[in-house]
Amino acid sequence: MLKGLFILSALFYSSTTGTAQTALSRDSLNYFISAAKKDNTGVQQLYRVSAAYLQINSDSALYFSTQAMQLAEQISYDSGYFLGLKHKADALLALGQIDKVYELGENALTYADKLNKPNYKGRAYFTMAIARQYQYKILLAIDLYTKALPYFEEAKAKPNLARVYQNIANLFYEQKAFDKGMQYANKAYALNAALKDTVKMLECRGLTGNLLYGSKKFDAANEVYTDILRSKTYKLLNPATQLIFAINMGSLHYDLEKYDSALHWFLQATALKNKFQLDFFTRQLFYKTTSTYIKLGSIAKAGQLLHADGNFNSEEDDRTDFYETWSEYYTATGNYAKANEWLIKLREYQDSLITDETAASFLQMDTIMAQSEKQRLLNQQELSIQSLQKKAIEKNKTIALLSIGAIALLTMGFIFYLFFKKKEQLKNKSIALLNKENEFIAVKSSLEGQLQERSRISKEIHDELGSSLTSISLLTEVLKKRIDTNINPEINKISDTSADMVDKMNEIIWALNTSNDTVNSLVAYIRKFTNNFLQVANIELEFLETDIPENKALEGTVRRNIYLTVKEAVNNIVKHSGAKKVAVNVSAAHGLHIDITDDGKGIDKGNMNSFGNGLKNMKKRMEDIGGKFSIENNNGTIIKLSY
Amino acid sequence: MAQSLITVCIVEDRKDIRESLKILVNEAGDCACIGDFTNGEDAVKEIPELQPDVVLMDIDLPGINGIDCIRQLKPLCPRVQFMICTVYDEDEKIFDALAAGANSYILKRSDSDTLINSIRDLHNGGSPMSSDIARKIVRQFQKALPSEKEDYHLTDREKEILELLAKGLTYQQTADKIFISGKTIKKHVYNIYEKLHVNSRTEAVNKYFGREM
Repeated sequence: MLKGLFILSALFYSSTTGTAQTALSRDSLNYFISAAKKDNTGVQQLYRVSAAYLQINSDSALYFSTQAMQLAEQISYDSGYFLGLKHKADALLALGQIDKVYELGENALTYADKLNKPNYKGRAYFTMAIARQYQYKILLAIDLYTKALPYFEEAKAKPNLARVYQNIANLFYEQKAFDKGMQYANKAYALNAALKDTVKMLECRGLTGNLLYGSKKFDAANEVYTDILRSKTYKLLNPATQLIFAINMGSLHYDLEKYDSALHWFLQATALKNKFQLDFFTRQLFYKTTSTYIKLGSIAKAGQLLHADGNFNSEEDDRTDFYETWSEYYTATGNYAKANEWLIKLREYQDSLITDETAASFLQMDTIMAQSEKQRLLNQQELSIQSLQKKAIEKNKTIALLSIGAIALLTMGFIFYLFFKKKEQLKNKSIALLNKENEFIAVKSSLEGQLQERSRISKEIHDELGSSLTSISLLTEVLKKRIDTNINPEINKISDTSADMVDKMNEIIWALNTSNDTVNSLVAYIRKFTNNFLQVANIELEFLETDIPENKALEGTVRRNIYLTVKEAVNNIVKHSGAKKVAVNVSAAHGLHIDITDDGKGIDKGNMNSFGNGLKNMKKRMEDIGGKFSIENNNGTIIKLSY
Repeated sequence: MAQSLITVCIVEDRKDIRESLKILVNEAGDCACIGDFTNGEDAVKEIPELQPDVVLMDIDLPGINGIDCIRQLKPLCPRVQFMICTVYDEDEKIFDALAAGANSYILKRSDSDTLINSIRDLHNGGSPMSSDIARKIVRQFQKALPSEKEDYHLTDREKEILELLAKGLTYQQTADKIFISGKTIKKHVYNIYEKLHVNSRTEAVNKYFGREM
């Protein structure tokens, strides 16, 4: 919040703007000038008048210092001329005519060139530098100060040298090049110490504190500040410097979130301000104090202050703090809508700042930022070097820690390795699974295609060939009616064959039809066949079935082979056994078992040839599907099929 | 003579078969084909007018199939007896047809004697039944037992016959087992068929009273 606070601390060596301005008439001014002697003493007298008027009437101070310098030039009173630089610059600064200050320095430089006196040149550069510093052109100011340095060194002008060092330190502070700033602050301090200027020494200490504060070394900064406050010379510092220390102290505590202490210092600063009627940093101090009240939870107090302060003070040149503090206040009270309103105002204000002039200063800011970024990197490097040194000291400890860390890392690495390996494996597995699934889908779809084809073929056979053969069968029946059957036995054959073909086709369709691919369907088909077949042969059938599952799948080829084996067996019984009764026993408890028992004459082992082929066929059919076939004699024949 | 003639209608889309059946029926002597139709829709229109004794009904017809055709005709002419004529003895279709109101079934490729005898049997109140159809009926009423309404109201004797037929016994064997004649068995089977499509009869009543579902 306290932007621009510290630079001003370095500048207040120049006088503050006057209070009540008492106008002097041109006549009275002229009287003073004409009264002055046209020699060195006259010049010195005019400077004294100018200095006296500086606090009362800056215009008059300017007039007198200008006249004095002109006189000094006329009478070639060189040191008098350069003495005037301070007086005229003070007056111009008080009037805010900063460009004129730079001009003043330039003219002085030309004047000094003729004289070849290093101290004068240094003063000329110093004046130019002050102008640039007031214009906030920090780089240019540093450049000019640096130009002044060798001349002051040459002239052995130690107080001037110390002042330049101090100002450069302040400028580096502004640039956030804290380490560089520290170098110059130390040089300034050493010089002032040599000069035994206790007040300046204290100022340099203050600068050191600021630099530490800036580089976020809060504790070190606090130490330095506390030292300054405790020193006997503190009271010798001018009230403005004291005020700035108090504000810096408060800000430091504010940043350290020690709001009680911060408030103490801000109140101290306010007291100083009121006591000595110092009217700078008024706004910053006000906002800082208000903000501290908010942080301390004294929101009512903060509100009181803000409301008492009223609306924006037109004298203020930076409204940022004003908007920010109001927004902060409303956030604290929980009135977020209001807080947001103020934030919007803040943003609008900041946008409005971007004029040509500010854009130009932004450009300069960019350069500064780039440089400070470089510095920051340098600082970082330095920090890392420091930490490396520390590390070297704690090498043993570090080695121990490192080895523990290494072991931990290795373990973790190993765990990660295992984890990723497992993950990879899982991934591969899932890919493999996916491939398998794809294969499965492919096989499945090809199977489905086969099944569909099977269904299509069987349907066509069923619908087309079936009824065509039926037509032949019926037409031969009609033919039989029309022609004497005894004469044409072939007609009977046509009729029988076509009827037989329908039966056979029915079998093929049954085997093809996938909806019949169950144990249940096979058993039903065997039952129907044996029933019909044995009924015609007038053989009694006892058909027993146990544990037939409702929907147990059975492949088409298996189903067909078992059925054909049973058919062959029953055929043999009808043809060869002479049996009166057949028992078919089907069990599907474990696998599928079909026992076909007859009460016929049994198999004549010696006369196997007559139906040996049939037996071989049955055995082969069962073995083809991985089943078993056996036949034995026991008061007839028992044929056992199992799958 | 005219009174003893069994009047027959034929519903069959295939010309060869339709004409052959017509010839066989007409040449049987005691049967007369009084109408033949190539599709179910025509049959539904005409048969209630003709009121034949027996209808030979093909199952696979263009348009409405034979089973639906019987389902529509049975309530309109309950005295007409329907005989399913089929290429294959496919239990499912035959059972569905019987449940729709058919009284008998025969394979088309049967020789002329079997065909005509079946017509005569049916006309005299007999019906053939294979062991598989018997099993289906047994299973059907076993399933339907919990609900009185779904029961086919079969008598104990009818159930006994059904169970024996379902085991695979022939009519003669069954008759021997329960000491009745083969002819009586056929009569029982006919009654079982009648009871099987009890729902159709309910439909008939509903139709009569104008409460068609």
